[in-house]
Amino acid sequence: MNAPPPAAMRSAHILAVDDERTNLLLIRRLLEGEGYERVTTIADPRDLLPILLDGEPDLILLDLHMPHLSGFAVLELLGTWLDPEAYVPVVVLTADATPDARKRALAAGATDFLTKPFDAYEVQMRVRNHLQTRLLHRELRSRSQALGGRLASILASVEEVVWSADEDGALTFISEAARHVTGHEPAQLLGQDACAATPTHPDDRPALAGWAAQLRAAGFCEREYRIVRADGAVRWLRTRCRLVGAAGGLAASIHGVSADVTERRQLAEELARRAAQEELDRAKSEMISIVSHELRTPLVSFLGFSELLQFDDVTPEERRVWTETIHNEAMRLTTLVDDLLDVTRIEAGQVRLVPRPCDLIEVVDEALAPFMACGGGARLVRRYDLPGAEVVADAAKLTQVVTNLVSNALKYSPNGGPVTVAVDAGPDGTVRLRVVDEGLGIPAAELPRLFQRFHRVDTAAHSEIPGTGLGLYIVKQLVDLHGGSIAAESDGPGRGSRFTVELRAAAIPAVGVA
Amino acid sequence: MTTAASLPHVLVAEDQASLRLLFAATLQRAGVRVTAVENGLDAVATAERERPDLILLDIGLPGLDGLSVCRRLKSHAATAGITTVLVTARGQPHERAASFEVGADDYMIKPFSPARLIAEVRRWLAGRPTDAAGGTDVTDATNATDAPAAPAAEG
Repeated sequence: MNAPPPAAMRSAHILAVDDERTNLLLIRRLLEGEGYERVTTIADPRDLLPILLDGEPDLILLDLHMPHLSGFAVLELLGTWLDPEAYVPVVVLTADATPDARKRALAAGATDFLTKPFDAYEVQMRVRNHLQTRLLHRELRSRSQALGGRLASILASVEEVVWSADEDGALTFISEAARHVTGHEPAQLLGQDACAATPTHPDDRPALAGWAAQLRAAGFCEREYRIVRADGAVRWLRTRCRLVGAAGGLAASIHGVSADVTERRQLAEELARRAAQEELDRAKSEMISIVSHELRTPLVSFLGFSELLQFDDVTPEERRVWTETIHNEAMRLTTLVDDLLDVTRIEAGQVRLVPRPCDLIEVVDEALAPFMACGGGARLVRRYDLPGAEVVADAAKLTQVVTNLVSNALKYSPNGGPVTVAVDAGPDGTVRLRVVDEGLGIPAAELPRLFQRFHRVDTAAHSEIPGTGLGLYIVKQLVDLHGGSIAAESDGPGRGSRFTVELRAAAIPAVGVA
Repeated sequence: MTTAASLPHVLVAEDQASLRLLFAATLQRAGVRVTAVENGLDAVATAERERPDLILLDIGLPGLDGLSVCRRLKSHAATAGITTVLVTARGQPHERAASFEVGADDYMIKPFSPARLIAEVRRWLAGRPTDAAGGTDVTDATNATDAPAAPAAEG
């Protein structure tokens, strides 16, 4: 009448439980007539357990009203005896057609409910449908197990820790790599907070705080931090995780990958250290070449002019110009030697300030006096907008700061432009000194390195002006020693420079105090 | 008396003002006309425009350094014949080797003795060894400069 079930289905194990032997005989004949090869029938439900122990059947046909053990009781027992992951359809076949029996049986775990006297064709079709579902379920299960196994073997070969957590951050899965990365057994970490499972280094806890909030807000979070491994070793971890919203019946969850980046960081630090060393070496050899050049030039002058002065044909004008040149070169040499000594002292930590309350305006005036006496004076514009510019400072060192800034401003304004020296009140109770010129200016890229030792602004215009790259370095060091700050600004090449020094004002304004 | 225009012409390229003064004062006493410039680009421009008889080039010039200037001048027919002397620093032997690599005719070392430089300049202008330089006078030097000037005019 109807086509026989497919081969895979015919080998299914079907178990029929009924106290009426005639019923069992009928069922067996019906099913075997269909082509099913493994039909087991039992008349006493108490014989069920030994059969189940031999292996789960693929389908159970169950009577409800039986002596010793009712079908309802059998359904309950099957719930505990059968693997909850397995799907074993149970078709109730009973003479009890009451709605109550149907409800109870389905509630107790029955898959289907048929009443006697039954229609043979209906039983055959239902059995076939349920077996189909059972086979599909088994197929899906074995595929998912195979996938799981493959995934597990992939994860086992991945050095990074792959993990999942529920929405609250409790770990639901963590890969084997956790063992060598954290030093803990992966199984012991399950259920723990993803962040707290391995203690974070105390210094990095503030940086890690707020990761959950970021994850919720952005859906993604990446952090690099140190952990203390089970053996006490401190390791760097980079964790990236993503929040996956609830979908398809799955609750929201967090999936992350944590990698031990300690070696990578050590390598990066080593590279940075080497780069810094190379930069220092480069600066040193540049310094040697600058210093030897700067030392040599005055010496060439001294030797040359002193010999020329002994010639018979020297005019009085030549004598005057040459001796002046010798003098200027000697002054330049003195400045260079002083600067080098200052740098050496500063770097050896030998510079001691003698701080006393003093008026910045008086210090500036004193520093400007030598410039006023010579050619630069006419170019200096003084602007003092603060009546009592009291600071606590070492006046001699502060004079040096002003002198260096002003001589730089004059030197790097080859156009002979004005240099403004201003003193006024700065922000947050500071006294501010500004030296502003309209000279060569500074390219933006040079500003960050301006105060570095031996750094010289690298433009053709600047390189024509002699210098050692020490002046601003010394200025910065002296300002730092005073607890002050210095900043340089420029609108770019040819547009002048502005240097701003801010020093803390003396605590109490010296109003009315002699 | 020889007029300024007929004197041998020496170009000095030196970035330090005090040393330009020193060169000028010294070379005047060698009986030459001196033009002093302070960077490499000016040195090239002046050499090409004025075709001096002798060029003293400081190695450490800003912008275009002395070696580059020399290489440039020696690679152009119009300036290749000009006696070019690189001024190197004492204790920098590699600068001397580099000078000849770029085609310099000679080198001199800083610091220098003005009396010695006067003798050397006369030798360079005469194309004769220093030992004979004592006898060189201004007129001889002027005559000697005609030789390198001639091929320059052809080119």
